[in-house]
Amino acid sequence: MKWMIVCMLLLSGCVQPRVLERQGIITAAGFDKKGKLYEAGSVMLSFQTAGSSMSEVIEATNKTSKGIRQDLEAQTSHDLGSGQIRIVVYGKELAEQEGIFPLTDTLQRDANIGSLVYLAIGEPNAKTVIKSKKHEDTPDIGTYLYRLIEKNLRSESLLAATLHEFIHSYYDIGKDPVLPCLSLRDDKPIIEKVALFRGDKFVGTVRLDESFYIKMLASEYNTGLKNITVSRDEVAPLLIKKKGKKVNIVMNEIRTKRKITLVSQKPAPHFRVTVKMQTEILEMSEKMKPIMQANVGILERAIEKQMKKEIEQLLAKLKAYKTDPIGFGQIYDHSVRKLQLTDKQWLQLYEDARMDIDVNVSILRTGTID
Amino acid sequence: MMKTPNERLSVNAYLVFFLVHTAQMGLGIVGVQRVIFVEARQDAWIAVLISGLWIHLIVFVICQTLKLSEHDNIFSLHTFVYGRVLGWIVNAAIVAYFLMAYTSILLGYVEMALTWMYPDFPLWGGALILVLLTVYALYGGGFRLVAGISFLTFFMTIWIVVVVFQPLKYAEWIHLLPILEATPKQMMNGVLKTSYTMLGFEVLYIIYPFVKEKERVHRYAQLGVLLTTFLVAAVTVVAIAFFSPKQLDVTIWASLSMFTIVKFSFIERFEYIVIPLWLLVILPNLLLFMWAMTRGGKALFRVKQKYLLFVFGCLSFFVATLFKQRATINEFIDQVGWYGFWLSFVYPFFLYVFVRMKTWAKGSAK
Repeated sequence: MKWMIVCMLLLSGCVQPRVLERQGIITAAGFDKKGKLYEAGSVMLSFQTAGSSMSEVIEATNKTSKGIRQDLEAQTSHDLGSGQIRIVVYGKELAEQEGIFPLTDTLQRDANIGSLVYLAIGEPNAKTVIKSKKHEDTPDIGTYLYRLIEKNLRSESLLAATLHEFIHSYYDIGKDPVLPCLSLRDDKPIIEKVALFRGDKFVGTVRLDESFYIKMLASEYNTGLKNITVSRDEVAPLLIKKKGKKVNIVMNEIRTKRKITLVSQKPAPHFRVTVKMQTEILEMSEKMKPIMQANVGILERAIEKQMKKEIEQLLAKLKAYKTDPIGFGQIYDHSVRKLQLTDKQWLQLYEDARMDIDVNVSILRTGTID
Repeated sequence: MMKTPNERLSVNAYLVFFLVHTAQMGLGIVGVQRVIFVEARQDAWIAVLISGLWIHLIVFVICQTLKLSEHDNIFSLHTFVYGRVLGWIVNAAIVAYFLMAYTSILLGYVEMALTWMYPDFPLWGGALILVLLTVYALYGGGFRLVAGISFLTFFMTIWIVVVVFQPLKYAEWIHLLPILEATPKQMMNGVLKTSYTMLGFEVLYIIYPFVKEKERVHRYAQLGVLLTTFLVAAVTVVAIAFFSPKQLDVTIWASLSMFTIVKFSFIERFEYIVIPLWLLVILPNLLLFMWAMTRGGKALFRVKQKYLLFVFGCLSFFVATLFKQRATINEFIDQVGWYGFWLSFVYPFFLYVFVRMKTWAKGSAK
């Protein structure tokens, strides 16, 4: 029986060894459109025996993404490995004209690549973002972009950006994906906007403070800051000075719970959106009277009113873009029995859909002073 | 009638729980979500529960059948019921089914391991490793080793269940609504499709004579089935919530794809732990089916189990090497599920009636 063990051990030698120094680890990739071809750049990280690592951007142009991979292999002495790929950036133009699903599909198909890869849109194109030399103290641009998105997802208003979530929303009927939009400021990639999609096509962007509401309505939202501007009249009883500009209020440690229900289907879908929000006040642009149990309500109502207005504006904007990142269609589809909704049908219904918004704010604390 | 295997070869009744459960658990659960979902949509988990209930009933019937003559396994029962010639044919069919089931597990696992981890490794190489492993284990061990292995692998792998909860972070429970939308026909098809995943409890027919306390077999077998049903239903619910409907339609190994979300600070790609570990999950499957095969072969040809081990090992390896593409492998697995359905989900009732009638006829003839 010993020969069997020997045989098993020998067979296990059939798999190719991978030597770290020989590997070129791709940490980021970017895709753009150039005529009929895809133009791609990859950030390759390699390790030297001496201990330090170096990164380099290699570029290629081809018809398919795996074809690009072959062209890339021809440009380096290292074996390219895509198992550590952190982020894939798609050029705005490519996403707008062609849609990016075929390119994400190949990522999903490749068992080497995990589902937690971040996707993003690059403005003006992916190449300039990937080739940026400014990546703070991280070893390469791929790691920088990854950390940038990760941090903003965790604590700020940025929305879901992983490959899994993109594919999930793409396939889900009545829900459209969103991705972070990377733009350059002084040659350094930053997140200023959120890219909206219809299916897999880029349709437009919203500012981060607007995406706060999308995040809030699409799922539960925790932590993060929100700045809100209310008119003077609303909070008049609290103010000491009677004249001046609008009042800015910054809220922190926001916890929200949202509930969306379909009230009626006919003639057009009618939703009721209820948002319950708990928060604390971090900053006010003006000196106010001490906020007590009795008068905190005034502030809360003012914030509610303003938020409701902003949400309504946002929903109107989303409707104009014909995109539904919040997933009203999904709720519609799953609330109605025996219904096989298609994206096309939903798009028509969405235009006339009515959403009643009800925001309920409660201020828990006002910092260390009243 | 066969003799009871002696004390040295028999096992305690509680091991039946592990034997039945590990025989059921295997390759199916890695990708079962899609096949049921395609049929029963968001009610797929209900189909799993129905199928589970049905199996509880069958296990009851199987134990009732075996109680009628305690020293028999399915092969000697067949000779008893159908006579020499017809019995031999039916037994040959059962052995063929075990051979197919064994080969399908072999192929399915190797195919999965190759796609995920070793794209440059040949299919025959993987199959050879697994066949050698089974032959090696059974050559030195026999049934008590099989029981021991299913006991050990159960505890070595059950913790994976805890990790399944991590994907819940991305779950959208709304996918489960509306409940009970599937038509009875869709639901029935869904139940049919669970068969491959839930198969394995039929080994009861063969292990029964090897258990010391016969009166407790039934209870432990039911518990084993209960755990399987619960786990399959749980992964189905999680998968429906985790994937969007159209996405689940195209995801082959839904359970594994869910593991791609799992991430610990010390290991980034958890699926690379799960796939090798899954060998431990399918190992009791392979061993039990191979052992059952040689048991059947012994009844058919009156040859020592040790020689049959090599014959069946070579045979399954040969069959496995015939397959090249995923599509044909899938078709093969579907076929096995279909035969398994008739053999394990339907046939036990008939066998019970036949054995009942035969014993009654014999009794009155005296």
